[in-house]
Amino acid sequence: MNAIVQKASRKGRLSALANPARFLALVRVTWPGLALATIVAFTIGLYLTFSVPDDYQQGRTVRIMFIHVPAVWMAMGAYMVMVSAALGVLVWRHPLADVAARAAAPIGAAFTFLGLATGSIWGRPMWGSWWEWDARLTSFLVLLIIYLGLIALWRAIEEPARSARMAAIVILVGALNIPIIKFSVDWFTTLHQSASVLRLDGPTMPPVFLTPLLVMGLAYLLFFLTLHLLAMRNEVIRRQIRTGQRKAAQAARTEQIARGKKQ
Amino acid sequence: MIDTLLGTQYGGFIASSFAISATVLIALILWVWLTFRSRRKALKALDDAGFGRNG
Repeated sequence: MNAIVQKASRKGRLSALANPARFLALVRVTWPGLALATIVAFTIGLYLTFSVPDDYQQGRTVRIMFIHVPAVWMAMGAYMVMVSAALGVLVWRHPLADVAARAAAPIGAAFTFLGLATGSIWGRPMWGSWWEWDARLTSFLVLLIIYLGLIALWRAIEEPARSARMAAIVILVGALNIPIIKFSVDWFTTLHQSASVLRLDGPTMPPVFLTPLLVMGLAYLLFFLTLHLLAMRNEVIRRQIRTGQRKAAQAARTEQIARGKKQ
Repeated sequence: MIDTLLGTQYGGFIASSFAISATVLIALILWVWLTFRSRRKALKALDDAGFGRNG
């Protein structure tokens, strides 16, 4: 098994992983380490989250930011992974590209839901409202709808190559929403504050709040990477099952024809 | 930690946002794990019937 992984990494090419056996071997080797790193990052992140002093404006609710903001980052990050995968489908036609996109969609949708839910719960005490149709919230809701639409699209089209191409096109069109989410606070008048971490001139957030936020961000990233790899493995197995079922159906049909001829 | 969550005016908001996050993250783990288990079983059945990866 290790020899397979070493061979894949020696080649240093993504094309080496197009072989399902190589990819599955790579997942088997990497996921336990990633899972362990995720647990460590979450432990440190949660400790820091509950050790910070209260914010002078948000009070104790500032702690919601440490799970809300990383969820939003990962919702958009998962979509960017799907954009790269969509390019892989349309430009390089890599067999794992559609697998990667399909596996990322439900995880991205879950992070988007978390971003909306935790944001809404934070908004009630801070803004006095669960929901506002402002540019940031609305564009983020659109992201959830895009995720759900893509999942439905993959399920609706049987033919794998066609569903992969169609989903890739929809993913690329939907990518227009990502800069809208990011810059909506600058382009429109919204309730949201402008960016305070991902800025060209550096973060404006005090280190006491920035540190737990970044550690929780790392924990969410590691969680996504672990789950994405495992979900990709599930998708590869699903395709192997489908191939096996086709073989079984073909064998049954051949047998039926042979029996019919005998009679 | 418990005091931070529950001992304040906004404790319910903080606790519910952490509870929802934990539930969703655990649900994702369960989804991946249970899917893997059922698919591995289905693949093994096909392998045994001679229609699997080496069939």
